[in-house]
Amino acid sequence: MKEPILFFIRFYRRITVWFRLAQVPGPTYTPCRFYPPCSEYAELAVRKYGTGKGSWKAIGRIIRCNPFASGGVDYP
Amino acid sequence: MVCCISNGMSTIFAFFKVILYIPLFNALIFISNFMPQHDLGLGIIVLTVVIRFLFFPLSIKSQRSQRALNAINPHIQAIKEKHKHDKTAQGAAMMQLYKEHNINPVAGCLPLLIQLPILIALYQVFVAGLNPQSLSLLYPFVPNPGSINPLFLGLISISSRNIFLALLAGVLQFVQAKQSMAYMKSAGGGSNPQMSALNTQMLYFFPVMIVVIGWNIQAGLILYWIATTLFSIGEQFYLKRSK
Repeated sequence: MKEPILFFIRFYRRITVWFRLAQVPGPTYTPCRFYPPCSEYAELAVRKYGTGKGSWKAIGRIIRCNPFASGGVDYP
Repeated sequence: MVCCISNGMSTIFAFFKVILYIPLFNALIFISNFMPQHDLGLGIIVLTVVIRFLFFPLSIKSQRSQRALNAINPHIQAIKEKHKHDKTAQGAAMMQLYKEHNINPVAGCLPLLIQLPILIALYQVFVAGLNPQSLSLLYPFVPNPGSINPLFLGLISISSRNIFLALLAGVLQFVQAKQSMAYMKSAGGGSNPQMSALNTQMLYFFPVMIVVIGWNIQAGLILYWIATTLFSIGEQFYLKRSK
């Protein structure tokens, strides 16, 4: 189960570069506030905690990554 | 268990419909009512432009942050390599770097995700707008046009496929992406050969994909795509001028 998720995350990271350049189809593409960025965080979290817990941690991170967050360094 | 999940799902869909789908649909018909011959195609274009204007300040800031982030990418890679085994040092060096280059992205990843349902609702509305039955969803204060005019500019039926519009969308996408790439590179840092090879491939692949998809969908959706791409091209000019 780990590999498909990791593949998906890597795929997202590749494709998002392009969507950010093309600015489609959404109205805006906002960059991540943290270091490491959410996609990298997700990969690290899944590697460290496994698919289930790692995915939850990644979702939590994305929710934290909002306009009211202070940003900064945040490792899983 | 299954019934609870399906109940939960239908609640979410109902919520989605009330909070996004119906308002957007009303906005589309409201705008179309002002267009000559109640032209739904023009309505789609105007609604798209309105939405893009709402997101304009955020979009400009995001693109500037993205450009700054791209520019320091070589430094980021260098720091990663240098502090390979020491995460604390890596983080500290990274924050220092962000500070030096004054990087503070405004919104983060959550807004990106929140956009997704808006986008889905918008696409559904552009399709549903062509179905006269959906006029029953109008709010009392939105005048019912009685029927829907799917002839864009009196020429192009937006309820069927249109190869010309699909090609136009592809070409515009290519122009936009070229501009955007030039803007991102203008701050330096584009020295990652692997990255630029990938981007060059995508530069040609993406517009082709849009033409292929556009070939197979209703022209109303392609009108959205053309309008949003044209808006992005305008945004690029703005970004370039206000450096």
